[in-house]
Amino acid sequence: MISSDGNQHPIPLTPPGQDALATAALVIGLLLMALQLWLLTVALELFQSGRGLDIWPLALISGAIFAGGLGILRLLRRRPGLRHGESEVPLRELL
Amino acid sequence: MTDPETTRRAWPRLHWQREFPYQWNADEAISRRELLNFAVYSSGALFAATAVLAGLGFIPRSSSGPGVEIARAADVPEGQAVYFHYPTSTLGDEAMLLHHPNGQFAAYNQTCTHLSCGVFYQPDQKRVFCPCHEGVFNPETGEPVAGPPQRRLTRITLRQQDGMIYATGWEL
Repeated sequence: MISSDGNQHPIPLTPPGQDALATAALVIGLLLMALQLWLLTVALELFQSGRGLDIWPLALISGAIFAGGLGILRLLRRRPGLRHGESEVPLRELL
Repeated sequence: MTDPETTRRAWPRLHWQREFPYQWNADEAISRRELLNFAVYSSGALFAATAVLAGLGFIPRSSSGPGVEIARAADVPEGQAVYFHYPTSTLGDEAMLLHHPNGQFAAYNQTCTHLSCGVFYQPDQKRVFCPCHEGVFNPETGEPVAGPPQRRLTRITLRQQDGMIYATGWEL
């Protein structure tokens, strides 16, 4: 970023609070994905042991996590964005 | 305009940020948003795999095979076992017919559900035993009761006709 005095100023970093919030949301999402992977291994174990009728609750939980992820994506696309340089950093650009 | 020194003091940069001075909004390699997209698509793939397994779980997994003559019921004393092959005589199709003390018959594939060693019947201890890792199965149900196996033995369905016992299929 170059100011009127000709000096190059560093581009401000994401405000610390919002940055931590966005990172926390992302980390929680990745943890939920790890949970889905674990559910898949449990489902495979049940399937191989012939207890296939017990798998559907696992599929429901996995589907709920996926639906939550889709909801977050949809929410981010709906939020009106702000241009760079404005005082507030919109969530959709933060992520 | 904000003084650079003020900005630097407000958000002091870490060492790696000084060496790699790309900001989140200027980074075109991969953004957190792209990572989130990737994570959601991966989540969808994991859900799809689990859903497929759930769907397959509703399909009965017993199969009917060729009717194979095993032995005459009278030739298998109570508490003893007869070893045979089913459905083919190839390696991995070893099976055993157990005659329980209560008079009932049961047959299982001899492949251990842990690491595929061969299991055998120990009538004196009333158990099916896998010597590789000391896995123990219940001879009446085929369910694992001790050791590392977590899944029951593949059960072979039987039919008795005119004193002869036939293997007719298998179920997981």
